[in-house]
This record gives sequence, structure tokens and C-alpha cells, in this order.
Amino acid sequence: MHLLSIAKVLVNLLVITGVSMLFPLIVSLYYGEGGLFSTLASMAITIGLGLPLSWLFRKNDELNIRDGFIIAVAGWILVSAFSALPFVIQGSIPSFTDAFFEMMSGYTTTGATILTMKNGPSRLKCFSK
Amino acid sequence: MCFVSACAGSTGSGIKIIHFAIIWKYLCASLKRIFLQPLSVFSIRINQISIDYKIIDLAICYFIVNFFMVLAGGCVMVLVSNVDYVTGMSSVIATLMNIGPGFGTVGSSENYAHISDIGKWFLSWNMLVGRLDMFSALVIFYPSFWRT
Repeated sequence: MHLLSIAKVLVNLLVITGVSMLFPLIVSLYYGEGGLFSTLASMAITIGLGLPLSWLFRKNDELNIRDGFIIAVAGWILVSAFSALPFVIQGSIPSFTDAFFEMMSGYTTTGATILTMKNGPSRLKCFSK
Repeated sequence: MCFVSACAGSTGSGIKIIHFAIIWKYLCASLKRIFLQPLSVFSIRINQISIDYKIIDLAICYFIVNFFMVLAGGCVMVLVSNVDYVTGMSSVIATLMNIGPGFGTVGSSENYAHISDIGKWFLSWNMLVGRLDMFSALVIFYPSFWRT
């Protein structure tokens, strides 16, 4: 088991998640429904956490098949948790559990929702995966 | 219908049609060998290509794991969240097979808002397990996985 290599892949995933928040940003700019600050803030948190750590772990490249399973499970949970940040910061889905459920259902293409009607940014965010 | 839905390679998860085809052919051949022709040797073919026994094992394990995860998950949902059995069972099926809406109070015109917090975490985990096709997520609970 190579913990540092696993961490490297996971923080790289975080950076990708942060960059993919550009799409909801474009949507919120286009429709002007608010949510600009929350998306920017969570983008800053995600990339700000991801980039330094990925620079820190940059020399670890060894992986075997068991690490792959751990990356698969932990990566999905991590990406969903960080994608849930904009909703919690903005307050459109106040509970983190609900936001996590929503994002997990978006990323796994389940489509189960806790909202009565989805707004623009969330729909595009679910789509952007 | 949710239970027998996805084609191999589609976005649906859970038991695939090809698993059912393999299991059915294996069942017919096994019964024939046990009761009618005890000395026969058979091979399972799909599209004239014979299937390796490893893949048949995997299909049967997949079926059993799915079946029991739905049964046990339905009981868990009824216990941790204040819903009836139809809702609990169908919400587990809908999330484990990545369908979306279920029956009962999580039906197609309803949503999951009334399910308790533990139930929501459990359903999120079910979605993850379903998306990673069961074994790649469940292998981390196997004790020898963590031994080096």
C-alpha cells in the first residue's frame, strides 16, 4: 500500500473538481440567479487545498491494484463531498447530508433528488461529470 | 423491472441482462447434468463463443450479492428511517441499480427529502457501490485486502 501515491491521485482529483466548477460559474453568470460567490468560494477552497498538496506529493508514483480500489472508493466520496460545498455555502441546501446525497446521485447518474425543483447551476454541475 | 434492467455497458448498474442469460444457461445445463446425463461435459455458449468458468462464477456471485444487498438494505432502510417496506426496498433498488425514482413515497413524482440522515448516507453509499459494480467497492471490507 502506497499511502502517499494514493494521496497524490486524490488531490489531483480535487484540482480537477475545482476546475470543473467553471461550468456552474458560467451558468450562474449567464442566468444571474446568484450563487456566484458560493461557487467561487468553493472553487478557491478546492483548488487551494488541491494544488499545494499535489505539489507536495509530486514524487510518489508507485501504485498497485489494491491502491486502485482504495482510490476508486475514496475518490468518489471525496469528489462528491467537495462538490457539495457550493450548496452548503450558498444555503440553498443547508444540510451537508442532503447536499452530499444530491451530488452523489448526480455523479453516479442515479438522478435521485431531495429537491422539488432543480436550479440551473446544480443541474449543470450534475451534468459536468 | 428495475431489477432486470441494464444492458452491459449502459449507465444502469446492478444485474445485467447478460448475467441472467449466463445464469439461465448454466442452470439448464447443470440440471441436465445432475438429473439426466451425469457423465456429460458441457460448455456454456453465448453467440457461439464458449464462456470461461471464472466468468460464470462471477455472474452467479454478482447475482447473489445484488439479491442480498437489496434484501438487507431494505431492512436497514425500514429500521433507520420512518418509511414502509415498499419505500425502503424500492429506494435501495433505485439507488443500488442507479435508477433514480422508486415506488411508494420515493416514487416518480416524489423526492427523497423525508428520509432520515442515516438513511441518506446509506443510500449515498448504495449509489457508490452500485456505480463501482459491487465488488470493487466491497473488496475493501475483505480482511486480507488490508494485509500486506
